[in-house]
Amino acid sequence: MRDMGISVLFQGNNFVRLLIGLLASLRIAAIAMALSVVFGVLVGMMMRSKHGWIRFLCRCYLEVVRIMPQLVLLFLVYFGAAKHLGIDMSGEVAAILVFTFWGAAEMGDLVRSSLISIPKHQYDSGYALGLTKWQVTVHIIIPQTVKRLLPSGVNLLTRMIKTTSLVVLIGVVEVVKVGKQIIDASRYTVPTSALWVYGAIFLLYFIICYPFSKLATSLERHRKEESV
Amino acid sequence: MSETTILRTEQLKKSYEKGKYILNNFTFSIQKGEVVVIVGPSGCGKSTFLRCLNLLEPIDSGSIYLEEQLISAKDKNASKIREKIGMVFQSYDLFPHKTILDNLLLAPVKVQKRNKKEVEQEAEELNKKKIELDLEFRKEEFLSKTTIWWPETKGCNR
Repeated sequence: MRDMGISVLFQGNNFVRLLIGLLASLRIAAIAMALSVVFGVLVGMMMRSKHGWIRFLCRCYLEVVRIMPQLVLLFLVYFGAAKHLGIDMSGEVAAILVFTFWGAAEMGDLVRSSLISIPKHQYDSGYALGLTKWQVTVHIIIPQTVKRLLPSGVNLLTRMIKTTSLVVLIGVVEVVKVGKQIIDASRYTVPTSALWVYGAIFLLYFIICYPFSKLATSLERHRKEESV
Repeated sequence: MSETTILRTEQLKKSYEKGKYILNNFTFSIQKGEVVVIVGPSGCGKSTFLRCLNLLEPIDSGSIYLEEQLISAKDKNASKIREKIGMVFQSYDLFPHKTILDNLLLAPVKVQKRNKKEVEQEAEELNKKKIELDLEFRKEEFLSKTTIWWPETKGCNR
């Protein structure tokens, strides 16, 4: 009987396996993003440091991250750590490290740009009221920064989720890897499986990323309307 | 110095560029209850002077006394002193992420650690009074609200 390729998705527990793989992708993205926010705030503040050399270091860091393809970073950390430092870390840990390294730089730059978009008189007004530096940061600067940061932050998260598809190359069993396994296993029984499996993966990524993308757009619109 | 001098400066010097003094040996005093207007063309240092008084700008040399206490020393706690010197900026400078009421509550609650409910009530009462007082300031409604609702406001930069 000629098999419809789509049935490959529902053989055995294939679909559940894909979803479990997707969970691994999301886990990496979520942990890395959470860490990126924490470190990104620090990096962003350092980028506004009084000391030129700190700003210079941050600049170098950001440039390195932007110039290096994430895949190279993944290989460097995963294989480099094993070969030169003798550290045997799992692919997932390496992936989280790399994505955090990347995300913290990007997030830092976002934090920096939203910090400079807060007018100086906002700080001055706060100080003039007798608020301390800490109170000005907490009550006046951070709330306004977060609003400006949210849309681009959500966009970064979407990019991160998509980029997790690279970690298949350092042996992490995430959604693309599971897809490959399914395709390999059914190569002879369902020759067209690749189309269906990758199609399903496309849909899964879309279902996850589209709402975030929409959210970012509406947050941005909301912010613009408010600032008018 | 008379007993009622509340704020005075001695030989105040301030420059943004080396050697170009915007305030050069400025000695000045204000008595309690006095209303002083500083007039001059733009860029002549009116705002700079006010900002110096409020310690928002570091001064090059000279001294500033509030109630005969030297406040311009480096080790002084600037936010403690600013509690006593209010300032209204040129561009009103409300905090855009807060409502007007929250803008008004911020300093009394966070700086003076007053009870929130109590300040809210005070603001309400002043809001009623404001209607008559507003006639004086009709053009800048926001500004008048802040001026009236913040009893500690003293310096007004226009």
